[in-house]
Amino acid sequence: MTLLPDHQGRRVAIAGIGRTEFNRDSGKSVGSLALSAAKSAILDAGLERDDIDGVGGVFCSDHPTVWPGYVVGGLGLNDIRWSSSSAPPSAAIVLEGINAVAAGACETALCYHAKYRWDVTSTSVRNDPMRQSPPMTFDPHFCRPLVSHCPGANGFAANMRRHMHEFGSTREHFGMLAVNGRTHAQRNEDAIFYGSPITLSDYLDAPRTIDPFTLFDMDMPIDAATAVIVTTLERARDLPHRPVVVEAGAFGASRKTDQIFQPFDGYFGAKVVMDTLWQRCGYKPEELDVVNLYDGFSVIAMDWLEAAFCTRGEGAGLLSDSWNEHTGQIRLPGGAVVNPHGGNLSEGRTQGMGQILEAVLQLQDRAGVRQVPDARLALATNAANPIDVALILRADS
Amino acid sequence: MSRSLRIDFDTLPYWEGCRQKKLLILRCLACGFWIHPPLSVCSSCWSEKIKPQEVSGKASIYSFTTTKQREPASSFVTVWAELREQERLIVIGQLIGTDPAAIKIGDPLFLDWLSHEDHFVPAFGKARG
Repeated sequence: MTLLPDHQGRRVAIAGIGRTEFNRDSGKSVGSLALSAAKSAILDAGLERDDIDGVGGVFCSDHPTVWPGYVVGGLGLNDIRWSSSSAPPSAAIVLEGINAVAAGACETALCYHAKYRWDVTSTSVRNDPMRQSPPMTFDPHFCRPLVSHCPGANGFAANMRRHMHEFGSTREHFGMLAVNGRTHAQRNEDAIFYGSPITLSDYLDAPRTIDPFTLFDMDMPIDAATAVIVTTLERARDLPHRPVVVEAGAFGASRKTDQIFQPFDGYFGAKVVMDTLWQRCGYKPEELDVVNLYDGFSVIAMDWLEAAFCTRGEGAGLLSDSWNEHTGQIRLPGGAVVNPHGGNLSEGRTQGMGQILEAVLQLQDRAGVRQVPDARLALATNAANPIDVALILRADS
Repeated sequence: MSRSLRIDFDTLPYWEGCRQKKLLILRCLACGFWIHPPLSVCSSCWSEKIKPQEVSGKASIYSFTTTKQREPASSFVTVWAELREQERLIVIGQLIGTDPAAIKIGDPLFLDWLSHEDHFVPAFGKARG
C-alpha cells in the first residue's frame, strides 16, 4: 500500500457522515438544514460536542449558505481551533478539512454544506418570498438580462453541444450517464427520484428543455445539507465505524476560468486533479471499486470520466464499451460501479457532497441494498471549471 | 441603469456602449489581447493598460442552446458568438431573425441589438456566407 508522502503530514480519515432528508420542500431555512446535518455527522462518528475542534463550511455571499460561525454558535461548539469558508465546489471544504487535520491545525473537523432551492436555480420558486437569492454579484457574462433564468444550465448545454460537435459523442452517450444514475437511485430510498426509473428511450424521447439538454441532464434542485467528520486515522480507529482513509486529495484548475457560462474547458481542470491523485496515491483507475462522478449536469460527468479513465474526446467510446442496456448500468474497466447512490442527477442536488457520502458508506459497508460487494477503493469528484476537486478514499484494513 | 445588470468599474464601459448600440470590448494596449468578460488586468501579458474598443460585430457560432419556457410559453436561442477579432473571444446573445432549425456550429453571424429595459443588449443574426 502506498503511503502519502511525508510532506502531506499526518494520515487522515473520514469517521462519519450526516445529512438531512433530501426533498423539494423541507420547510426549513438553509441554516437549520446545516445544523441538522452537522449534528447528525458528529453523532454518527460516535463523537460529542467537545470532540470537534475545527469547523469548515461552504459559504458564498451571493448563494443561500451559512458561514461556519453560524454553525459554531448554533451547535454551541467550544474551543474551535480551525475554521474555513470555502466557495464552491462543495467538496473543497472536505479537502480543506483533510489538509487542516493532516497539518495539525486541528484534530477533528466538521465539514458541512447546505443549500436549498432558490430562485436562481429552481424555476418553480421564482416568486416564493422565502427562497429569493441574496443580491446578485455574479454575472460575468451579463447573462441575467439575456436568458433571464437558469443561466448556468444554458452554459453547460452549450458545452454538451460543443462536445458532440468536436468529438462525435451523441445524446445517447449522455443518456447512458443519466440512466445509470437513475437505475442506481432505485436502490436508494433517500434519492429524490427513488421510484421513478427511466430507460435510454425515455431519455432520448424527452423534451429538450434547454436543447440539447432534457430535464434528465440537469440535477434536481432540493433542500439538502450534508456533513462529514474528518480526523486523524489514529483517532478514527478508536471510533465506531471503519475508518475511511484519505489516500489522496487534490484541487485543480486550468485554462479559461469563466465559470458556468463558458464551461467548455472543464476537462482540463479535472485532468490536473486526476493526474495529481494518481501520482500521489499510486493506484490505477482499474483498481477502483466505486467511481462517484460529479454530475450536476450530465456533461460534467463526461469531463470527469475522460479525465479519470481515458482522455479528451474518448469518453463516448468508453461509455459505449461500458454500457449494459439490460441492466441500465455502466461498469467501467476493472468493474467499477458508477454513482451507486444515483449521482446528483437522480439523488438530488447535493452539489457533489452526495458523491463523498456515498463513497464513505460503501467503504464502511453501510450502503444497505446497494452495497457494492467488497468495496475497498473509491473516487469522489466534484465541480467543473474553474476549481475542481476530488478524493481517493480507501477502506481501512 | 437596470437593477438586473452587474455594473462596476470594469463593466461600465460595456454597458455604456450598449446604450449606443456599440459593442465595446476591453483590449490590452500593450499586447493587443481582447479581454471579455471585462478585467482590469490583461490575462495574457498582465499589463494594466486597457481600453474599451469597438469590435466589428462579425462572429461565428461557437455553440448554441434552445430554451423552452412554460410561462409564458416561448422559446429562444442563445448563441455563444465567437468574435472574428480573436479565437475564443465569446459574447453571448440571443439569436434573432433567423430560423433556429437552420443553424449549426461555425455559421457566420452579424451583430444586432435587442432592447432591454432602458438600454440594449447584443443579439446576433445569421449572416450570409
